[in-house]
Amino acid sequence: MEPLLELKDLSVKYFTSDGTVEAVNGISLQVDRGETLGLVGETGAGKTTAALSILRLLPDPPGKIVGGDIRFQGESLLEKTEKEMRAIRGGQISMIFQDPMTALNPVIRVGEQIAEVILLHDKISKAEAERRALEMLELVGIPAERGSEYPHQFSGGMKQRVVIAIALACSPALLLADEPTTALDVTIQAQVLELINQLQEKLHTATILITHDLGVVAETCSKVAVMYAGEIMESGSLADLFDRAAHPYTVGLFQSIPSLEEDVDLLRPIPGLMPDPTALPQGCKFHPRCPYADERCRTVQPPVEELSPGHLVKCLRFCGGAEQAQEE
Amino acid sequence: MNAILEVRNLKKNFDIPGGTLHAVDQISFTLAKGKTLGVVGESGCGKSTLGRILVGLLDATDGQIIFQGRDITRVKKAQRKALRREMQMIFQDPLSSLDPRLCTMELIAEPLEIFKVCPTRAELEQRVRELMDMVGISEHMMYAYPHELDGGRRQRIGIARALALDPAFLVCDEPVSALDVSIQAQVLNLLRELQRARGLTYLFITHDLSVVKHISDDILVMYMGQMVEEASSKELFRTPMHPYTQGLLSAIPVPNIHHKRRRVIMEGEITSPVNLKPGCRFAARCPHACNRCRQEQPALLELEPGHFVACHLALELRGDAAAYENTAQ
Amino acid sequence: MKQTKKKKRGQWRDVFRRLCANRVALVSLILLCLILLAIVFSEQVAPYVYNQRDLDATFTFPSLSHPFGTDNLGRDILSRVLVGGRVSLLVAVLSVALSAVVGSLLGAAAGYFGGRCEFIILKCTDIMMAIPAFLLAVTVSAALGTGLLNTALAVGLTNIPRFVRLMRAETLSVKGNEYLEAARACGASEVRIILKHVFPNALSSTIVNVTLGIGTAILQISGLSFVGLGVRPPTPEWGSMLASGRTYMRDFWPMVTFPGVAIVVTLILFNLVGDGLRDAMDPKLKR
Repeated sequence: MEPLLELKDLSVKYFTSDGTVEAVNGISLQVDRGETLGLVGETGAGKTTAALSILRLLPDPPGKIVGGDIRFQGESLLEKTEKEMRAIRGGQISMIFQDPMTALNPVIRVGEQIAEVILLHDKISKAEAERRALEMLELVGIPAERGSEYPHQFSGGMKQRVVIAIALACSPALLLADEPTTALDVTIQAQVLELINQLQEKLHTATILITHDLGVVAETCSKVAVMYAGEIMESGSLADLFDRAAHPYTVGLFQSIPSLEEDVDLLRPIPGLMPDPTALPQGCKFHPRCPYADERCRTVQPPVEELSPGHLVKCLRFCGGAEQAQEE
Repeated sequence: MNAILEVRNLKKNFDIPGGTLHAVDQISFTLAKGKTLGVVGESGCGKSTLGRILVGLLDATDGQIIFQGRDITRVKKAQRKALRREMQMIFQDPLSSLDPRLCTMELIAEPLEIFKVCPTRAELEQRVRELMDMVGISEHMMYAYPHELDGGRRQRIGIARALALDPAFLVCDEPVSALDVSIQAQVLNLLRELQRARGLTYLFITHDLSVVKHISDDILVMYMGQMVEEASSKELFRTPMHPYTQGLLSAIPVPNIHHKRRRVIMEGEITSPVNLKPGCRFAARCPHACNRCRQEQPALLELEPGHFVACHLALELRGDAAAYENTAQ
Repeated sequence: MKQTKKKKRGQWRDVFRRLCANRVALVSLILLCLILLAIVFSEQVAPYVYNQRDLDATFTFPSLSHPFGTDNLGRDILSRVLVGGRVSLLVAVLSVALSAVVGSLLGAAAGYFGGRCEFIILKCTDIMMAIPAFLLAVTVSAALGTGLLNTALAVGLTNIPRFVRLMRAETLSVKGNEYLEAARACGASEVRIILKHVFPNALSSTIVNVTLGIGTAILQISGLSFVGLGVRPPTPEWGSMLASGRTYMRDFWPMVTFPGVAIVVTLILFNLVGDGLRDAMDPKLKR
């Protein structure tokens, strides 16, 4: 079956006065209907840029998609007109942003904000749209009578629920969630993640969850892709990544997180810093921070290697004799 | 115990339109020299206010702070300035806590200049260099501005500033929350190494439970300005007794797919402690709340040696905690 | 070691670099500098002595010997525009300096201390802003009398409120930053915090406002002189030159046109440079 969304070798650059920022460098991804993909990476890895390119919402200038293709339901999004894209945004693909505080218009009642999105995409009467808006509120766990309140009367977690209601109002096939719980407290984060999981089961919406938190991924996603310096370093099923992490960067990420189960004296952080996106290193982008880097890593761009069905790694250590490297 | 800091019944009220905000209410603890006390809680629970009162950026409404054997709750300006050499603070967001118009050198030199520690320019530069070396910023960044540096280096400057006067006690207010995981680990290691090398005492404020478990010896859990539980780090994570702590611990997403824990989802959200009703402040969100909880405020009791809990039902809930423990393993 | 010896790169160098990247601002800056130089050295640059009369050659149209023509008394208009610019600019700079210094101090005090201090300062500026600026300048000028200093005072006073407002807003936004608290935690005194942290960070928009303010001040001074309250003839000044040329406007255009063009060009250049400076000083606008 054809995947719902497919990124093929997507590359995005920002052309700024300080140089060309290579934000996304040839990433390929597939998301099937109803599945949740976790896109993990640190600040500046290109996660948000990738999501914005799917919606064609890159700030242009300076951002430009310089290569590759984005196929959604079998059609290329890059060939759509702006008018067609507007119908897709919020209708078939919608996005949740990180900060719920600024995502809502403070002077419009919450119910109206949801109804507005429905009216934009579906040809129904205003009354019908408002009725559906209140249903959406109930769905995300907010009593319908609160629909006539303004955003400032809601707490942070409640606002994020409203944002989710708006995103799901037109039953999109794909939801892009950009760090949806980062701005929230742990207990509220747990509530919102629970809600996203429930809605996922109920509505079968495919989701790309962008996050830096591997814990969040473990609790919500079925597939994971790890990004570093605009490339997908490793991707695979949850079990592939969490039990059989292969790429040195993925391994380093896991080791950097203070564990709740065991006590360690000092953590084992990845040495060094993210590379400057205007001057990415030659060869493997991770080699300056990699403990296994050798001469080849400095010059050879590693190809994508399939370790087991669906488990892809971009590292020279796994080229040829993959099993042997894993045993080390 | 060699206590460096003792806090007794500390209170801070803010007058706001529509009532009084009890930001910090009846906090008491003792902190031994060279140890780390972690303060955990959700945003708005008063943990940052507590830190700011301790270093004298805010005045306490009531209570006592005893630092190195002296009552410093209300001190005169000159004494306060002298105290600053002994206690310093590391701020959450290194970008907003560093003046964008000053370079690394000027930023680190500022406390030294204020206290006129170095009589000559050469000595000042020498000292700044030492500090930069200590926190791991290379020398060629001496004249770089904060916006030219990454988050990790900025926070290192913040740490160097705090250490410039060789203080004994540091309040760290969410020092790693704004950093990426791999950088966060670097900074946490730095803080631990510095503590070991210089015998520093930390009050470590954070909302991140895995960070607080890693760095702290003891942990104090705050809810709406009050302490609900205090215990050693190990003890707290092994047998959390307060239902809030239990909920908080179970809410952390754990990066382990085989670790399926029983989740206590807490209803509702933390509200501001304004014009409080009697009773336990957590009662509205507590899954176990009974009538007594809504009428009578629970006292902080030492239920195990060194393990303080403020909950009427703590003893009954311990069975529950044990169950939690079993699922956690 | 070598690298640390490298002199501290000032922020101003960065600002200048960004300003130069903006072509419009750069060209305006160069033109403005040329005009300013010509005005400052007007005695040397001017082809004639500005008050030298030549009654044989009154009302001559622009020619090679008199590029801007001559006026009703046979004086060279180009020389008078150059020398007159000196008065206009001097008064403008004086008045803006007055309003910027007084206004910024008041604004910073209002923003930093808040409370009653802020209330009083803001109400006073509100009252001043309720009166049309030119009317206020005319009133003050009429009360103080004519002359260079009095004109500077009148124009300076009327421009204080905008500097107060601006500086207060800037101070408030700086005040929200954690680095003030960080400085306090280091033991810095209030005075040090204001001088070292609040002022430098709040000042950049005031500097932009100064360049824009000079343009406005030139206009106001010329206006005052035009109605006979500013600088009086025979001292040449762009406004008073306009006023004296007004009578002959229908038959002899150069007398009003050239001082008028001088005002317009200088004003536009100051505004363009001010705009460029604002963009250059805001690192957030960097693309």
